[in-house]
Amino acid sequence: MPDSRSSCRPAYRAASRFGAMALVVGLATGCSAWHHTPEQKMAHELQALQQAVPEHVTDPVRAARLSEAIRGLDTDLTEFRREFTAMREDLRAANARPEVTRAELEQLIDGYDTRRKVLRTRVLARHAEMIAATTADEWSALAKHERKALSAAME
Amino acid sequence: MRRRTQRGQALILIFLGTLLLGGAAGGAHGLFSAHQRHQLREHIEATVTDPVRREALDFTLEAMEREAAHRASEQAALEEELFDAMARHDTAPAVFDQLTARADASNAASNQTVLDLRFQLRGQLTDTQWRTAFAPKTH
Repeated sequence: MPDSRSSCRPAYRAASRFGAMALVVGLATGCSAWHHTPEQKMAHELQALQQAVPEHVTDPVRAARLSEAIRGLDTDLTEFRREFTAMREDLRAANARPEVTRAELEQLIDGYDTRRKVLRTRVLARHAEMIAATTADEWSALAKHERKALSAAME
Repeated sequence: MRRRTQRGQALILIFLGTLLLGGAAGGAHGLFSAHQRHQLREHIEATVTDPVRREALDFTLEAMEREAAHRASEQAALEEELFDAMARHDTAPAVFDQLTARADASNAASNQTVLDLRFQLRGQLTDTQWRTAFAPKTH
């Protein structure tokens, strides 16, 4: 009668080795990404988007339009990150004051929301510029980079 | 156990503050970080011994967690729709208008709820307790 524990040992050892390797690789590569700030991640993704342009868009005129839109997106998302960070600090400082009124908090929130909507309009306009400068196939290769950049900006 | 689970949820509900959709960590939800809510609960557990006050405070904190979770869930669904729309080359501009209008309406309602709860909580704590709970070091 075979010992089931013995027969499991090679698979167990292989799994252990794989786990250890994954841990080493994770420590060497992935873990460092956990410490990146949203600004760093955003810059990285926008750079990846910019670098992907010549690879997927061969028409130089459209590629130039696309690159210009990406630079604009970079400016807008950087401004948004600055607005968002300032708003959060202002809001938490106001909230810490026991005597703060609802009107004061509403004013802070509404002010931020107004500025956010202006930036949102600009970002959606950049998106429209990128769509206009690409074909459907080109965009399908580039869209993932835009999504990652926007996600980083929203962290 | 239930409270511990909800506390864990509060800690992981570090929302996406959003440029395109608003809400979550932006707006009134930005009043309290998940970490602050966690510390606030600990502070209350340590300092408020009156069971009637504790119950009232627990009720408010639970309502805050529920609203945060509700908003996060709405936000995630809207984000998915928005990013899907952005990934498609043929999305009509009107689709973005509709999505952002839905997000704005949802934000406005949620902001009012969170502010209601914030002032309800404020009424349940003394000035000193409030200052201690939200001192800058609690960030």
